Amino acid sequence: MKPAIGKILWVLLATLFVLPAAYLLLLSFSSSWHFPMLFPDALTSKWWAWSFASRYAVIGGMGLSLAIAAGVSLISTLAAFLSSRWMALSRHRNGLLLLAYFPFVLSPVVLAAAIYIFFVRLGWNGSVAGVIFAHFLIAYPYAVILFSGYWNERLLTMDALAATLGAGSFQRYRRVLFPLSRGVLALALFQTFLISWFEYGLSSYIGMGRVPVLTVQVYRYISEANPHMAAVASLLLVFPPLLMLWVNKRFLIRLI
Amino acid sequence: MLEVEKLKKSYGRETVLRDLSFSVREGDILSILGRSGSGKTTLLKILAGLKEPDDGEVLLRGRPVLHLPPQKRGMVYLYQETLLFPHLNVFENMAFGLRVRKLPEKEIRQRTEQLLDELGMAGHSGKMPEQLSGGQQQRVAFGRALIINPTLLLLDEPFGKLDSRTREEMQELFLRICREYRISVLFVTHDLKEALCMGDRIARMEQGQLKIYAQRSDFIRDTASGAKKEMDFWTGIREESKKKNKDQ
Repeated sequence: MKPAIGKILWVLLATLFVLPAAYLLLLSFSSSWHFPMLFPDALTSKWWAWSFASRYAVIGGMGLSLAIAAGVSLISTLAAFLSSRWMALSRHRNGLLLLAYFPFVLSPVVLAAAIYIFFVRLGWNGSVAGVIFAHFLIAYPYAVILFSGYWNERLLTMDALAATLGAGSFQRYRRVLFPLSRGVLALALFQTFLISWFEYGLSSYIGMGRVPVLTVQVYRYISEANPHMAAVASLLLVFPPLLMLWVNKRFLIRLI
Repeated sequence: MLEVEKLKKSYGRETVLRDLSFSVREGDILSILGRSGSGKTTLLKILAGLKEPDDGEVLLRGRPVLHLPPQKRGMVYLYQETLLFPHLNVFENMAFGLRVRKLPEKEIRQRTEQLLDELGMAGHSGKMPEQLSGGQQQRVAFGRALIINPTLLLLDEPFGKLDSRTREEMQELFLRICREYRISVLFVTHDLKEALCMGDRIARMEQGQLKIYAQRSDFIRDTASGAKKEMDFWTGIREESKKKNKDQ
């Protein structure tokens, strides 16, 4: 490929990736933007100021989303790491792995509709705990699938050797398995965080609007025909994953 | 010291261990020879607690151990691969067994440094496993097992991946340390010479059972051991070269 074509392609791809975010940024600072103008007629910071006001609770929603996604990623990664090790040693490994794919056969909204009745009976609908558990139902099997290929013969043998050297279960995880698995654990934490962070169907259905996570707020502003506040909420939705990607790039790029 | 009584293990229809019984005395090294798939590794894994037998009993110093998890048996199982922990340096690899026992830092340092010195690895304590040669890795793996004073060492072809010279060095070092610390060992190998060099007694695994020879001469006399065939081969070579020399 000629260098000039390569450069053009690079610029095109970069524009393609950056343009939606740039458009959102502009929209979040515009007070009026009429067709067919390429840029807004006037700029304002009121939408961002409003997002901090308690009436709009966008920042509160962001904090809630962060707490839910962090909790879901931590619980599902840990649970999946432990259970995938057990699965690797189990005779029923393939059958269990097949079951882990099941939640992904359904779309999240269909899954939410299917499990909704159980949440109502348990009294978990409309609660943060209910949303966390609903997110866990898809983040956990995803992490199990991610870890399923990780437990190779060498790692299991090292674990067995550590046991004969006197290490109990907790010590083996602490001193051998977790340190050896830092890369894949970081990847699982990141991916499950994203699953929970961007989840709309389950959050909306199980949360019943009483758990105002950011994704629910974005859709609410869109349905209220308020594109400026929707742009602010969308930008806040993009920011934490970008930050995580930057922080974890060393691990993630090595694993890709 | 180790009593194995009527041990049984099958994988589906295939019987790997068939009422296997034997004993090992304190400080004894028992070499176990056998073909691939004869059940040698299964036997060691059952003793270490990494596999469960179908039936039978194992007593260590008179105490039944089959119900105990691997970490409470006092038997260390060493594989053909050294399996040093790649995230730990030589010192920490060696000290692993002491750290999990939560011994005082001073004692850990003293015991580890002493053993590093004894194994000729004192200058390498800060190195990572990938910076060591095969022989050096084997020394660290061996030290990591010895440092916790195991009641029984289970070695599964530990020198199988070393070149012949390093292998001989390791065999000498291994014998010296085992004699010094009076460690009881089950040494699995498929190398006839290694079995003869290392073992106080020699056993042969066949059809799920272990035949232990009281004397080396008994082992050599048994045609099934393959020792006589091996000796005849080398004797033949020697006589052939003698004859050639005479003719010239």
